[in-house]
Amino acid sequence: MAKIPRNFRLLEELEKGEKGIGDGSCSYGLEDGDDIMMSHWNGTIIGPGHTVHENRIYSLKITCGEDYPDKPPTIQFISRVNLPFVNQTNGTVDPSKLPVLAHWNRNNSIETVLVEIRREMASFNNRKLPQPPEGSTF
Amino acid sequence: MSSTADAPASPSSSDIQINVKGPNELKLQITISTDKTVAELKQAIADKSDVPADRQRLIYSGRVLKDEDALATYKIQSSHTIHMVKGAARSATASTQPAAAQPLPTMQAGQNIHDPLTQLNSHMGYGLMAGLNPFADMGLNPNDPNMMQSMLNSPQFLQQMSSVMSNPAVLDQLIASNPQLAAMGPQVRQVFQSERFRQMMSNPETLRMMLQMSSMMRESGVAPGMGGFGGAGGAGAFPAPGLPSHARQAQGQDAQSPPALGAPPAGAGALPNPFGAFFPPPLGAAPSASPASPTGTPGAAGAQPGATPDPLGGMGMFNPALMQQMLSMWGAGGAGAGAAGGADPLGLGAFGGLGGLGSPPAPTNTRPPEERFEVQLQQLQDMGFTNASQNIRALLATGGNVHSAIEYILNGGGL
Repeated sequence: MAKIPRNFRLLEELEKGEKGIGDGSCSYGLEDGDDIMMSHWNGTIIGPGHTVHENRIYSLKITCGEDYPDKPPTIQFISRVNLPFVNQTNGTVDPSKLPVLAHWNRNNSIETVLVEIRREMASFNNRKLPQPPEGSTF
Repeated sequence: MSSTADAPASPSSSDIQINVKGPNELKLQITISTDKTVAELKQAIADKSDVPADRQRLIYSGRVLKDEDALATYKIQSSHTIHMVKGAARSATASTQPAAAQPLPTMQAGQNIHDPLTQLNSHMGYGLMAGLNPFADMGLNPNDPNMMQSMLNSPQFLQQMSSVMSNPAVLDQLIASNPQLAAMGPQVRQVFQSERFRQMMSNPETLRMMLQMSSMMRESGVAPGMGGFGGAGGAGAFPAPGLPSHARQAQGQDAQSPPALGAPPAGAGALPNPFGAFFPPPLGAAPSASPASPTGTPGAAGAQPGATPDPLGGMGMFNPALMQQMLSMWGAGGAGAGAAGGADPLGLGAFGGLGGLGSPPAPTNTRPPEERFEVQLQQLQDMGFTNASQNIRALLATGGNVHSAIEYILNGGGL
């Protein structure tokens, strides 16, 4: 099967992000609409309900390198968050600690990453982790 | 909004139609010029939904939209979707606490309904949130979940109650100290002095029965909507200034909670009010709580909470609608309904009056909640709830019950 080239793939994702497909719990879009390489993205995750994250909006930066989607994007939290896979000094997500990045396959998308991170927030171990004050950033 | 009016002012080319997706499957289509700011968009959304602009948080393409930015900043295009999240009001500070009391009914649903004390406290929490704590100077800590129990078990208290009621001087003082009671005229005294009333006051079994009844009531499906409403009733049962007794009568008649409390009308309005007609205005209901009342139990239930300071009041036993539910459940007649209505203002008085009596020697508790709930706060902290102010609010709302406080926090309360 023919591989979808990087930019086609990202264009598809961009459109999906703008149209807001999904329940809105995760959202993403290009940081700068004029970025023809479509490398730098913004993402938001709305904290899952019934957890410490409820009603919080977490912003993150997503960078899709040249090898995307063969290689996973790099993710960095802008909003401070306490999660085991997030570096507490600069907010970067450790790919080895987040299964979706560790076992990346090219069918995954920015959306899958955000959804997975959100799922991690709601996991038993993370749902009650003490969190820094809302609105603080790395 | 009207396109004809807007057309000359803004070129139609900058008008875009955006989809707004919000909580509870909310979907809106809004046509707006990209010159407009995010704040204006929020207002437009507020007009079309029930979410006030200051509680909206809009997200587009992975970014949280800032109020002061023009929509053009975000390069939003027609048919794009903006997600709306309902957050706490931006100015969520201690001073806006009364408004924040609104989430409480939701929390009610998540609570352990088998624990009557939880319910007591949750409604008290409501009252507290509204900034009403008339008992602070009374040396009673209404947040103490054990207060009610220990009072019920204390023969001194019951005895005191009984002797208080039989002392006409005390009654005078009590009545005089409460404008609502005073307004009710001589019947009040009659009621207070009635043998039956006194009996009820001094019978621990009756008190306990009432507790059970109320918990039963909650379980019987009156629950979630009642949550807020019961709270409202509870709050109303405080000798609240500015809530004249006739207003409370009216409250009974249309089963509406006082709007000042910010209690959601949902549920309240939906409650049937078959006994509305039995409340003869303005205070005809009062005398029917006197010994002549043929229905012992329901009447008792209504009159009783008056004797005991806060918890019962908070329980919503004063809530006329609840009383009616109860009465209809028990198949009691119109007289009973009258008694219930009468018991309401009555209870009010008894309770306001107690303040002046210097009732049971409970430890004074004017310490700040941080200190009072030190142990519980530490527990919450250890469990990973680090939002200290939320913890305090949760503990206040649940009367220091850590278990309920956790439920409360997990349901998003106190934020």
